[in-house]
Amino acid sequence: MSGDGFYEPVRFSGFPEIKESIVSGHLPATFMLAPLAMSLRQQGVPIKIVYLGHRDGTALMVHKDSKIYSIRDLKGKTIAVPNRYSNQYLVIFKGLRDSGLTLKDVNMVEMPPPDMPSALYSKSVDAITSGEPFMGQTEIEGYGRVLYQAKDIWPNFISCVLVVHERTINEHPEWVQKLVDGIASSGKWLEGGMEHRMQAADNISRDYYNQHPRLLRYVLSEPPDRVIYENLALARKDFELIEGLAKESGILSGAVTFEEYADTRFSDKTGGAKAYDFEPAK
Amino acid sequence: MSKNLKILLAVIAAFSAISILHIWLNIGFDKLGFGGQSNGQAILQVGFLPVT
Repeated sequence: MSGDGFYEPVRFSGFPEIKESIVSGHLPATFMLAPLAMSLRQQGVPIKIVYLGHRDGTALMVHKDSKIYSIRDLKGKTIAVPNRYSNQYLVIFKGLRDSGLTLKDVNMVEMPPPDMPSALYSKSVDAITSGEPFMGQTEIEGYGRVLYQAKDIWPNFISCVLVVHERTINEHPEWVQKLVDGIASSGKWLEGGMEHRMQAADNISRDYYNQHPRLLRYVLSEPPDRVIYENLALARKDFELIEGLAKESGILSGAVTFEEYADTRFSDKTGGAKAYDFEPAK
Repeated sequence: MSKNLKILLAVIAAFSAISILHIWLNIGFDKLGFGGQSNGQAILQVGFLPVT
């Protein structure tokens, strides 16, 4: 998955650390929560969103013994989110709003996604929400129940986006294009059949995530459209929806435009991307 | 030991200390991590969280 050695994945355990690394200029590119990237750009950090990481793949989990069966039941409860500047936060805002509630009706706490399963297990929070596989982990281990999949409330949900430092874009646009093309081809390959997803689950869990392959196999197959790896090019309407919810919920204020935080040059060239010619091991 | 030699040794010692500190802290002088591999190919560091 590291291709021909052109790029080096650097694993983090929380979004605050990722934020500090790219703000300081030590990290040239990273996957990051979309509203966080938009907020940083609004604050003057020289970064651009150049591609999406995936679509969907976010759920809100409650303890299987809890009496929470609808969004209205979240009133007065404590919900862990990966960051205030996240679409997980915004999808809760949207769900509450559509149910006649507001953010003041719940208690949101920020928590690194890897810490969420244990927090739900110990019932120190009432609900958790982040990208997979930590939500699926609570199902596999027998104490989590899906209250909703984000895509049920927000179709074609976006969680993480690929963000690149402007210095890198200006000095080496060909590197950025190569990275974006690689993600597009990887996505096409992943969507080429369940055997591809299972091969990816085995490789990623061993080489990058340090998680049990069974967990990644589960979240990439139950159901197969739980996480989607196509249609990752930047679309203005997707980000204007995020902008609208972010401003309505109060996490973004003032003017922030698609042209300021997004650079579509690279994703515009991925229309003809083909899947990697890579056959999974039998 | 001459005064000039002492100054030279002090400069070398200071430079060595700073170099070791940089290596120890893994700061390096290439903030964006564009240093080449042994085969001369560039490496682009990409941050990620182990979430889909």
